[in-house]
Amino acid sequence: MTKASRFLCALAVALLALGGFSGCTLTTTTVEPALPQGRVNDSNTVAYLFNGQAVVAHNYSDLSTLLLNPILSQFGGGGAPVQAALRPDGTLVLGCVDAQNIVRPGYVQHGLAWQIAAFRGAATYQPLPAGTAFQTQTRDAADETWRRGPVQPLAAQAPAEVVVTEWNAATRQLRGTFRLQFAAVGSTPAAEVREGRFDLVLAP
Amino acid sequence: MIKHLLLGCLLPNAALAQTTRMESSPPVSWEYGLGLGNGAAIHIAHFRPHFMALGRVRSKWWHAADTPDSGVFGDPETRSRQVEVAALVGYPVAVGGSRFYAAAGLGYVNGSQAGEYRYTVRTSGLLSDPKNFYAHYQYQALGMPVEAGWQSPGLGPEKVRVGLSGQANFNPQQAVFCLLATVWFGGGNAHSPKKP
Repeated sequence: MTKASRFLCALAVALLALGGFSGCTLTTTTVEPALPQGRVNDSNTVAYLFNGQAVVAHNYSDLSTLLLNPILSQFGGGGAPVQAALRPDGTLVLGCVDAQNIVRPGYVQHGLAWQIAAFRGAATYQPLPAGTAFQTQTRDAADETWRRGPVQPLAAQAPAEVVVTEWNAATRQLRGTFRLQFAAVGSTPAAEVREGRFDLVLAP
Repeated sequence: MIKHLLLGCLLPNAALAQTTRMESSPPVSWEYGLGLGNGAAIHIAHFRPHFMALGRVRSKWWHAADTPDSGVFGDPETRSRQVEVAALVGYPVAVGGSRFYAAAGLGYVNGSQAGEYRYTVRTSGLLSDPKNFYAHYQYQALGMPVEAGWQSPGLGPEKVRVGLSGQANFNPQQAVFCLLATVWFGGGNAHSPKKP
């Protein structure tokens, strides 16, 4: 057996031994995309982490929304994805859905609404349980319609707050943060909403 | 499966048969260079008559296949990448002025995979311009790199070699396969092995 043959045999044995080595994982991390800062597209914007996953809702207009919204509004639909208003009784109402997202089978849209009473500008508020809820809907792969999940109310005795950090009564600019927890309903697990932020111009 | 692949990478019988004729005194050399194909690599190797040690740093990037932004020119947000640093040992065979080799070893990989779709932001206008955002899955792992290659005879006074290299890294996170065109410098400094 020549030297070359011996070495080739040794190399083959080494490779076979290495073939049994399938490697090992050292670290793994899932990194969420950053939430946008401020207003997206200079429009009303709400962003938050839903069970750790980034959700963004903002308003925009293109040809389809300009054509469809007036028609949908006749049937109770349409309207802006992010809507907020300060009612005469001092209740601040916000509702948002990430409707600007891509619609594909299996994709999820997130609807969030909260209300705070006795609005007085920059301060920390407790959301009103009666007007605060969360709901998801999933695009069905078979018939391409939305499958709505249950409306999830605020979880009892869980930390929940809305912090208004900036309010300009003249421009009606409203900025702040929020964190909320919603209860499990049926097979739908509880939802934790954190790192929420909003940047809105309230309708007059 | 991997074992079969590795054995298949070992040199063809015809090349081995010629080796016995050509290996009168294959040179010893340090060679280094670059590789470019469906990835990019920097490599350095020490060649001896019946042994080679190879170090390589390689980066490969690609777009996720099942996202709205998939495709070669897809959104950078969907780009997956893997960087590998590897040390390999193997066996070179000189055939005429050219050289075949096969090697395996141990490699560290650091990668990022485009993950699930998260959200879109859109501009206003008749033709809204959407930008999609995705979660990313990042990992570090140890795996087994393998490489089989061919180098041309040295060209010019510096004996620069060009060649082809098939590379792979098998690891628990993301196996990567590359075919690279290579260029090797340093062949002009080759010398015969010292007799014991």
